[in-house]
Amino acid sequence: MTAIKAENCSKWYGQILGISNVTWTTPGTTPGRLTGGVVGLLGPNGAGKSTLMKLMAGLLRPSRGALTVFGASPYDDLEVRRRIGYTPEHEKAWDELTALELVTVMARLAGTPRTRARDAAAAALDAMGMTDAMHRRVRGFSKGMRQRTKLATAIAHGPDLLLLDEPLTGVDPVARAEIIERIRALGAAGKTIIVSSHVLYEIEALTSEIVVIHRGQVLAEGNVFEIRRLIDKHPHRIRVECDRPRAIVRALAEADHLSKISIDATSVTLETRDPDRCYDQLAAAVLDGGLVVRSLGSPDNNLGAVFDYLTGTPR
Amino acid sequence: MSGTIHDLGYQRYTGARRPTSARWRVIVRHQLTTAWRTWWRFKSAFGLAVIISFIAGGLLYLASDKLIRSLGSGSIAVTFADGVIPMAMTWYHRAAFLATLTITASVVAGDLQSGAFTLYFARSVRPRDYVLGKLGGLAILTAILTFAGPLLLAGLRLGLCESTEELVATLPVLGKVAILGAIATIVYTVVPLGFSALVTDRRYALAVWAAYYLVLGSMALLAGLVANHGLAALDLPSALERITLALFDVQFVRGKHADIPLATAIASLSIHVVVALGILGWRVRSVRTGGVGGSG
Repeated sequence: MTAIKAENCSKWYGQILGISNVTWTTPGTTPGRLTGGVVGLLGPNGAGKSTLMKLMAGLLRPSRGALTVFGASPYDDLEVRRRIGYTPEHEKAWDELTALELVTVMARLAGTPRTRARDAAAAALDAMGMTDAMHRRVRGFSKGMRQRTKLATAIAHGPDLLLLDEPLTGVDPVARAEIIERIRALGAAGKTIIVSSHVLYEIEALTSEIVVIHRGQVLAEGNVFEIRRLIDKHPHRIRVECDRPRAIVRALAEADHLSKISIDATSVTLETRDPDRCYDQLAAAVLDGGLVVRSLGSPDNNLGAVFDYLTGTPR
Repeated sequence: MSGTIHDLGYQRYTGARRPTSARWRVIVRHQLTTAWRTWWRFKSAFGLAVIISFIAGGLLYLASDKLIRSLGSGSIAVTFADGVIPMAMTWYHRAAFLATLTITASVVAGDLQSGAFTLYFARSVRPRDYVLGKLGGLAILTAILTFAGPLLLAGLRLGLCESTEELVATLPVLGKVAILGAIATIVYTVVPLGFSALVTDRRYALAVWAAYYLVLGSMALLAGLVANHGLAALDLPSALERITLALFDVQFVRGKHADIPLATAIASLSIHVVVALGILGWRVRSVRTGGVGGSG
């Protein structure tokens, strides 16, 4: 059975478009058996990721088309919602509770009997590495601890599908690594997990299966490496700020992979079809010329550039 | 669906599930837990109710004292004792109002602001479970102030009776207290909860409720005194006091509430409750159907 299936699904908020005509099925599922795995839902802020997540969680009803989870509408079917574990991006509810109390009440709202909810909550918090902090109030938690507590609320009632909306936002690097590790472990253990993010490398650390969403539409889906390869084929820009940008231009002027060079008093921007060669030649030019480099970066090395490329928006 | 069991790194719950129809009770329990959590939320109002009970209980005890009775005629002391409970009830209502300011009048707006609706509706909770759960939980809290306290006093009043005749004659006080307690519980639960659903910011919800109860209520009471006695019934405490006077057949020193027609007082409270329920239902339904949160 397919975990999630969207068919021509659209959602409007009045005149504002949330998602438009999305047709998508969760990958990694085989008929009659849930194989689990992590799928990254990738898109810039306002792309429609949260809307799609809320549609999958049964918090919204599609304005047009259909979206089913385990073969039923999550908006209408309470039994399907019980099989979903959802963590919203933002929420500050019930900070006065301890982590154990919060996860317990969430498990109870999902139908776990009172006698078992506390044990289930403690086990979920334990799995998220929160054993030592489970009796502390959520109010005093760091962002990382909050996110891990939210993950525990999502898994305590034993759902088959996890929907994690931006679970790594605002989390420090150490906590980020821990959370990524735990999400991957849950996916490897058989849960179907949809993780949304606007940061490409976060998703890359979690999974190779991605869905790129932009302006409410599914722009690309499939293996992240294939999409990256596709992106790498388009001209890649490198911007160098240094004391003598003209020296770089002189050194690289003859390079056949360069399609465009822009220069001003303090920087040079190179547009190349072969980023690896370009970086090598750039390093050589800097070392040979004894240049003082103040900054080196690529305006294309972010998700925005990916979307611009995929949508054909000029930069 | 395959029956494959995966190693999730923790004990996955596979036992029985509670039926969806029982979800509201989880919300009731949660409401009680969170209300009791900090001293300023419910404990302050509860503390005030305890103080009222001690003072009123002390007055009842004094009124039953043989020495006091011997100072005047016994019937005066008995009449005074009968007046203590309705007088105390107006103070219990003040405690209930305090609880509306710290809890009830910001519940729905608070849930909207904090994103709690997302947590409810992402689970197998229906709008009616939410409404029932909130009403149930808040009604229990309010009843502790407006029902339990007066009932305790009524029990004390009965316990201090000196003869079987007096006990039998005083017995109806239990019923009167129960009726008034129930009415006050409904009013101080439903009406502020309706106000909490009126706006989406908890501070505004509190402000609107406080302004309505204190400012608009006082204006209505004033208008009632100078123009139309019926207008005074818009003031919730005055309407409640009018019913108290009718039930206990006592006259307070101020006496102004006696002029409100009883039917108008009952109608005013009923309309307040119905309108508040309507607002509450509308808000929760619109949150569910319109979606929780915005786009993104």
